[in-house]
Amino acid sequence: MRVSLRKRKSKNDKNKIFEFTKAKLLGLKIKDFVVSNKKQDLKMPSINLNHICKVEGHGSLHVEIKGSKLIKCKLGTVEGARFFEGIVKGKRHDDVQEITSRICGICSCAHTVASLQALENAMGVKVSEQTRRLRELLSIGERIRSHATHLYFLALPDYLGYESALAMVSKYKKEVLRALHLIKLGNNMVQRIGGKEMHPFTSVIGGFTHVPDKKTVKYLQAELKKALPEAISTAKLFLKLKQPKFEAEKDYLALNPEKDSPLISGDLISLSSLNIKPAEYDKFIDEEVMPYSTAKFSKLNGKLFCVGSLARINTNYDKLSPTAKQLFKQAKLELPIHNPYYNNLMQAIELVHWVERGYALLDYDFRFEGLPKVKARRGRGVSAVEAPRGILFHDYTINEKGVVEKCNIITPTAQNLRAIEDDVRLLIEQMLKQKKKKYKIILEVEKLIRAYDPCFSCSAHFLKVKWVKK
Amino acid sequence: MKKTKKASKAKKPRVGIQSITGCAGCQLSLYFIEDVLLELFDKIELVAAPMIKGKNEEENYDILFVEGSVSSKEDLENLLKWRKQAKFLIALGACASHGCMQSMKHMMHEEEVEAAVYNKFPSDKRLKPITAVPLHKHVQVDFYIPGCPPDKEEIERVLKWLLQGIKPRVYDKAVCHECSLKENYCLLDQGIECLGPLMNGGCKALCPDYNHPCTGCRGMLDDANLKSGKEILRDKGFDPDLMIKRMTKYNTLQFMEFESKPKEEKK
Repeated sequence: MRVSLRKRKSKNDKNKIFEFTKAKLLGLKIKDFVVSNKKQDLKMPSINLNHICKVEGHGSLHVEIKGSKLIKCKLGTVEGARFFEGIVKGKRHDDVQEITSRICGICSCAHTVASLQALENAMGVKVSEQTRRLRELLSIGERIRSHATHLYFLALPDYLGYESALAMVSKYKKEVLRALHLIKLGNNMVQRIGGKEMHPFTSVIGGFTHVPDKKTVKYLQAELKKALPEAISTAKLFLKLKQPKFEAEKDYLALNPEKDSPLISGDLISLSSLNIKPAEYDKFIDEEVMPYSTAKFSKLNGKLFCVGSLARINTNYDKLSPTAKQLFKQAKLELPIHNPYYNNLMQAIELVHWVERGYALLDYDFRFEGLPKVKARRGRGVSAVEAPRGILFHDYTINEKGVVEKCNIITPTAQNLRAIEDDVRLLIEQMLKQKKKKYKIILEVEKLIRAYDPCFSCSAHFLKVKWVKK
Repeated sequence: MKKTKKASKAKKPRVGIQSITGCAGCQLSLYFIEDVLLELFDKIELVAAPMIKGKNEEENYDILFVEGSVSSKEDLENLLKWRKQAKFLIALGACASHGCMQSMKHMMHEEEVEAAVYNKFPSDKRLKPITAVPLHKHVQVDFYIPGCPPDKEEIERVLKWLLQGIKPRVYDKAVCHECSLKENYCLLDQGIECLGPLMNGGCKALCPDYNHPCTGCRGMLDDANLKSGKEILRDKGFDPDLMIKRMTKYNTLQFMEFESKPKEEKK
């Protein structure tokens, strides 16, 4: 026993202790660093890191390393499954939106709009110009809130070296207050148009049960005008931040905004110049269930792809507002961008675009059109909508009574999971070659995953990294 | 004044915000109390909030908010662990207090529901979930803030009460109470299937106020007269099957308890 104890006090072990204290400072739990009792493993401890925070939901990452080689890297979601696609079965059309909206808190409006549009497509219901405008406004409000939350509360602390946005208050109070103001603006928009800040209910099949009056519209416009300089300074703040060097080529998929509303309708286009009708999505996107995850994984035409802000700008840069374009030019980047870390900057630039677009859309005489009445009809309907994190598909088959028989939902994060997994693998391999320390690798991996803005609620909760070194 | 400030600094309550399976919306509505968020968080010590913090402690919570429903083994393990460490546990949102959408599986064929999602996958390798149940089925819950999502003003109010050492009060009037105070024209009279008379209020009657029927996201009233409520809805000519589906949307377990009560009395 004594001999083995002496053996333990080698240089390696001193390093280990140093890492322990580092980990402590970084907020990782010490008990996660389990030193195995086996003699053989003394030099190469197996490490379990149990928390990566500041993402939306519970996810898991399993990494196995042998020497300086990466053997296994699996990203999954371990959130308890809720089976929404199964629950919706047997429900009448007017109950569906309320259920599917609960899939996710932060992108509930996107789920709402996608669900309603898919059901309208199935039953052949046509909606008015005003309804489309209000739905887009609902999405824009949600987007402003979601981007502001992600940029300031989840991503920015990494860049500035803080553990959370709340810890930044003493030095960066202005930025935190700006974030709260932008969030409030988004909340105000969703609340005044959708009825609630989350899970909006006024939007129903065929129209709206309530329409904002002139006073509200004026108020919202004034708020948006006030928020524009704040959105611009957000973009400028992210322009100043240094992004890590990392390239990973893949395909990008986004809605084509040539037709009126780029957020809630149109065909899908990809960087590899695919043109997909929403109803044909299942021919191009393959979904798989993995044994280690409750979420499904997707591929586009057999290729790796990604959706979200980066994909939107890579495919539709021309459609950005002039102010947003100007900001983009300041970054001196060449399109297409293959560095996933830039997703943060793209979100900040998009924020400016959406604030301007929201202001323009509110310039309309909204009038209550009466409560919509719908006749049920047999059919299948698909809708693709740009959620804050990428494209969201809802697909329903309903019978003549309007009861759902089949339902398929593909969330943006499910589409991104495979791309994230691949990028994480690449990053770890790169960093292992550079012989970086474990805690540094873990930090970078966290940062990368956060840059994608994964929403594990849509598919799962917080990220657990299981780190096995062989 | 200075003394009291110092005293309060020393005694800042340790608050945690944890989540299990859910949509994270309840947690977000807590962070969305924009105007007073920094002020309020200054008065507490936020020791755990994995969604916005990197550094989280798992011990000695004075007040702990838990959102989500127990839907997997890990959820249960976490919940039991947290309960031991928390002095005052608050169930935040509809999932934590009533089970919400995912608990609808209790009244459906579970295997069918699961097959609709993971049909291609062999059953032995599938992750086996527990059908979602609210927190109080497993642990003692000290206070509920229901609602989907919960009213952020209510969260603020409850937190302020607790900081002052006042026991928070439960709102136990029907949705109709607030709705009629707002002088709305009754939706039931207009032929819209509203569940207001049976459901717990406190939401400022948001949905009926915007011409949308109440679906009961804040749970059923403890003394809801389900029998006569059903009769009223039947008399209005609504489909009873649909009504049950509507009533069980958020509160499947509560509804099942209500249904089983009279039978026990007969025995």
